[in-house]
Amino acid sequence: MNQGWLSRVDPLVKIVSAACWVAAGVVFQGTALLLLAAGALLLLAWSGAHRRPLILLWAFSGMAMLGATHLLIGGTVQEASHTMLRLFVLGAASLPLILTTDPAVLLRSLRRLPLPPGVLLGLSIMWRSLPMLKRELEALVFSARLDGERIGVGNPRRFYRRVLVPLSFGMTGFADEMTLALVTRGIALDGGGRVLKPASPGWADAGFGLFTLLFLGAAAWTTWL
Amino acid sequence: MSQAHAAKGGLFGFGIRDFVIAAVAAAAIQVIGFVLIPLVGHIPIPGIRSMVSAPFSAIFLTIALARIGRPLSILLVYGLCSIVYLMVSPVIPCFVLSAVIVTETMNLIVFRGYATRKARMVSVVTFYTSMTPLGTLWGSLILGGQYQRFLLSLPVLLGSSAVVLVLSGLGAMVGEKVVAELRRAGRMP
Repeated sequence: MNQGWLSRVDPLVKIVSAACWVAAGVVFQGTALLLLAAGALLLLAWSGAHRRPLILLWAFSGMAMLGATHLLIGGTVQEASHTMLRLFVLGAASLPLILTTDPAVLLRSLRRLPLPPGVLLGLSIMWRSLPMLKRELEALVFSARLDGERIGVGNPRRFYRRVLVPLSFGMTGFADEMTLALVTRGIALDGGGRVLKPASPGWADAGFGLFTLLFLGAAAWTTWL
Repeated sequence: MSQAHAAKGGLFGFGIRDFVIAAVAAAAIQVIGFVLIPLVGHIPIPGIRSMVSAPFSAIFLTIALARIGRPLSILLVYGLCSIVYLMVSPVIPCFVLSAVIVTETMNLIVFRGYATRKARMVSVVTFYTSMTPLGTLWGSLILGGQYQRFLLSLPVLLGSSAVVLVLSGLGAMVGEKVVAELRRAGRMP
């Protein structure tokens, strides 16, 4: 996770901002879209995406292929470049949330929303299941290696026997233990959500909100005024 | 686990046990998506992402459906996934939830739940197959209608939907085999 100033922005502000950028990316065209792309470039830099050149290369080659496909199926150069710019804005909109947000902070932020308790519980368990799945997979691969077998989808029968079945048993076992632990601790789904005290917005939230408003406002101004 | 069965009363009447198994299945589906989809994400073929992820995701979705068994179970699993997808791009939950609505409506009319093997097989295949045209439709909508020519190339869309149908069907079949093994071991109701 990148530790830049965006990591101090509340994840809910980032979610709202991403939705606004996506909506703007869909609505605006021409000069406004260029302005949005400039803003998206700043988002990309602040999120630290430039420190991952391989992923960037992958993403840009995908965009180029999409543009080329657009030309191949009879689109004009202007249409193809518009599509690529739009994709760039749509892709960059979520970067602050993906690259600069600690999942624990995100979960804590989501708990401030009046979401149903089951959804919050599900999200927490989903996050906690990821290390369990990783551990199980590593153990299964190690056990297969001890028996001198290589695991891969190239041999479906072996993959089913050595990975899928034991992993499913591990998953259901984990789910049973987790359910039992929750029930014995008296955690219920009908007791209402535990809504935390609302956090007071900091300078990072204000700055990020202002940045979003500035670019979206400029795009609206060039289109409608 | 009878205590857990009794702990109902959550969203749509799902119990804690339902939420837990849905969350674990959603985590497995996320892992599959995050490992496989970036490998093909840049190939501009409609439905390519579903083609690579559907056979594996279908296995875990089938297990979760067999375990929960109630109507709206796909909504429970993919609702949790969609919250994570929302972080990646607000566009993804649009077509995922559209496919969920199509599948759950079909399931409510025809099967009223996922208790039977047939209900699970048909619903899982319907879900992944409908996601391909819905994804393309949402994509063309989001790209401002400029992608209409691509939509017009219906043979490509039909072909990729057919591939997703076969692959998700295979995944659901494998999932059913795993469900049978879990049932034999007493891990499935």
